[in-house]
Amino acid sequence: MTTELITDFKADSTASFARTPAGEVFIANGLNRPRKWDGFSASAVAVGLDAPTTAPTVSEGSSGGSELGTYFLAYRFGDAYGNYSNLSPVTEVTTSATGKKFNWSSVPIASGTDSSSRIAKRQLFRTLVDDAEVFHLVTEINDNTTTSYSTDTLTDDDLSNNAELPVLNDDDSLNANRFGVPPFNKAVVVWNQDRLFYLGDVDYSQGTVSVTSGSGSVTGTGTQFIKEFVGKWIWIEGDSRGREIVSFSSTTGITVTPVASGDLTDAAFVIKTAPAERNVIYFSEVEEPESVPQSQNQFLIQENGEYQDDIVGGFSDTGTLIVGMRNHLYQFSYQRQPHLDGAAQLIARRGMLNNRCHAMADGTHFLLDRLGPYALSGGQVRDIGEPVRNLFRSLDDDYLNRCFISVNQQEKTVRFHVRFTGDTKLNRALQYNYELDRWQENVYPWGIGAACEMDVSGVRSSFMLTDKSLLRIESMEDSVDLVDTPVIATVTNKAPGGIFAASGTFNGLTMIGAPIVFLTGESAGETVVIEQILGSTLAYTEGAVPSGVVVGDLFAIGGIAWQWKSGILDFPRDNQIQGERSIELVFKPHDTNRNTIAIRHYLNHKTSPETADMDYVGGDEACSQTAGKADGIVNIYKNRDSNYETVGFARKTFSGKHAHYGVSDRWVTAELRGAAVGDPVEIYEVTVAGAK
Amino acid sequence: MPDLDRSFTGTRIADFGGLRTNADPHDIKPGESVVQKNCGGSTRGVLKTRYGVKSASFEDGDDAAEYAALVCLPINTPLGDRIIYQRESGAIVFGTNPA
Repeated sequence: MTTELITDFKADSTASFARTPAGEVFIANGLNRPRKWDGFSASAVAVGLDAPTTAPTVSEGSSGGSELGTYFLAYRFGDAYGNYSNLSPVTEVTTSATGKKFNWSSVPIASGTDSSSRIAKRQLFRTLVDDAEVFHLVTEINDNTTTSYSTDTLTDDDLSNNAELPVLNDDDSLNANRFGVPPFNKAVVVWNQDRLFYLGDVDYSQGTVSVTSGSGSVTGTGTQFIKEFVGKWIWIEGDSRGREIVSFSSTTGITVTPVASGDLTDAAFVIKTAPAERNVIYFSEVEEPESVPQSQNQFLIQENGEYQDDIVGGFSDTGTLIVGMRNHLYQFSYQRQPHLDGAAQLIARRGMLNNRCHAMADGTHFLLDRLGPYALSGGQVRDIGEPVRNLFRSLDDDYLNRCFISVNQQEKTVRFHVRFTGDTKLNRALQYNYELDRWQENVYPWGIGAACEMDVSGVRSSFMLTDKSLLRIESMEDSVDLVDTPVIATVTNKAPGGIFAASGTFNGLTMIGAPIVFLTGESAGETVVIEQILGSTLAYTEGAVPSGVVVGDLFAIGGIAWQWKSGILDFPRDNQIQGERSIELVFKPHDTNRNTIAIRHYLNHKTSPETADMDYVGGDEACSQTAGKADGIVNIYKNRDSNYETVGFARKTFSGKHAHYGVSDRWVTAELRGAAVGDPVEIYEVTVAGAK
Repeated sequence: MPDLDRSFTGTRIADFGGLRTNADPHDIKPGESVVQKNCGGSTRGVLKTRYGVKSASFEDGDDAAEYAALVCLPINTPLGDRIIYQRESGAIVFGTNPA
């Protein structure tokens, strides 16, 4: 069961989460007001308590404990968990004599604000006589309905024994009014050293707008303006300058200043934070993640690099805040007060694509920027992505905001989830094994939107959220996707967008979303996903069935297509020592007769594999070839040959000779491929005989 | 005429060094690959296909179509395990006790 916590967050900005030691989750997206969730409730609440805007009405009454002089009185809102707002405007009462009481005839309730539903009490404060620096708690009204209090008869001595609330701290920093509401325009929240940091701005540009010369009204078409846009700036295509948003009227109506200097109709636009605001970072009071006195608790990352850069993410690293821009990484350290004794230091000319392009595993941070992946440990950057850097040049620029990183610490792997130009979904993960310092590419049948690792009932588990379902990455010895038991069947007919198979093949709805991998024929290795099942014989697929599929081809439901291709090896130049040419495999035999391995070879940098001249049915060496086909098919079934019960061996031979004088074959590339169906395919050794 | 050298000539790959595409394929080490899809492995010397994924769900069932997500966060609470995530629509959702 899923429960919707927040329904009004914009899709235009990806949210960020920060957990506090108290177990609360803070959620920000840079457009809407941040929210917090306690981990239990069915809803999240607005972060920060809006302060009262109306001063209390207080008058002098008889029969009290006052001195003769001036008192200052105010109140504040509080929730049920000890969070408070700033103080209300102050009311000043000068007593006419000693022995007076204070009659609080109007203590307004909280209403009409994002946080008013949280208010469970109000606290009334009064100073001692002629003291404007320290308030003392008079009483608490433990509801949000009562509007008066008429028994404030405390003497100054009694009042001084009550909880005090100094206006300022000893260092002149804000105290009574430290409970400012956090900024709405920061999309990233990071918990670091007992404070919550708010950073990173986002733009909004959905729809178009029209303006009329001399008017401040902006009319949107297809827009979803929100009240939180007030204070931001709008830049309209064709306009001469940016204009500040001063009011909100509807999802299609805002007002700006200065007024428009010309007519613009259905123009593209972007709403951004004010220019001076964009690299400002706000932070909360210690242990009070909702208390952000914005005028005080802020600092700016001065970007003195070679070009302008914006904050897109951040994370904590053993007590320091790491601020991620697109092309730079800063380390921000402080002792007590970030705005007073903090300092930002540029630690890398590498950045982050977005806030989700960071993950931590075994004490090392892994990040992804436009140059590819890298690691950060002990303040030092390590370019782990060098072996595959060229692949990251293929990142689809339109989907950079969707790339993310996930970890699987049991497997010692980090996955960089990316979408390359030409891909139809974000289903590609370049996987780095940080223990072995090795890369591989995983291609999933589904678009992967997010992934996480967590302990479920004490067992570490990895989950992925796809466009189809919640998936759990198996840590067992099992190479099959989504179905419990893989099914191998034969195509009996093709339908538009689907395939027919024998009765019973598609045995139930549980297979919807499952991958189909073709095992034989021209489309061997291609994967489609089941979208709909009709009866037990017809499965419709997402997109068309590959054109190369014909009746009689084998396919596996749940199979995982895989491929490995070597670098280019040289044939020896001396004819006399060439010997035989073959590709040999040592592999783990399977208990089931479901898996095969195809061996291919490519000569002289060709993009097409060499094909067999004649049929060859594998004997003891297990590799069968068909004339005109490229694959040497290796049967890895254990029962194939009693000599190879625990370790299998197969060999595909091929011809060719390097003649020293004349045109001849000079290079060869070996390729292994297939579909894992159930037990994982395990290869222990590959030998390319006749080449080195 | 000298004797023919019948000693073995070839390349034995006993370890699979992972994907290396950012190099001249002539120059990469034996065992490194120019294509390595859905296989690798956490053990030296073994090329192994990746583990599969299994369908999971939150407690009390759910609508699978709701899962398309932008970001997620796992949290363990005294009342059970949660995954909080953002749907494509922007809405923030949580599910309980994934399994």
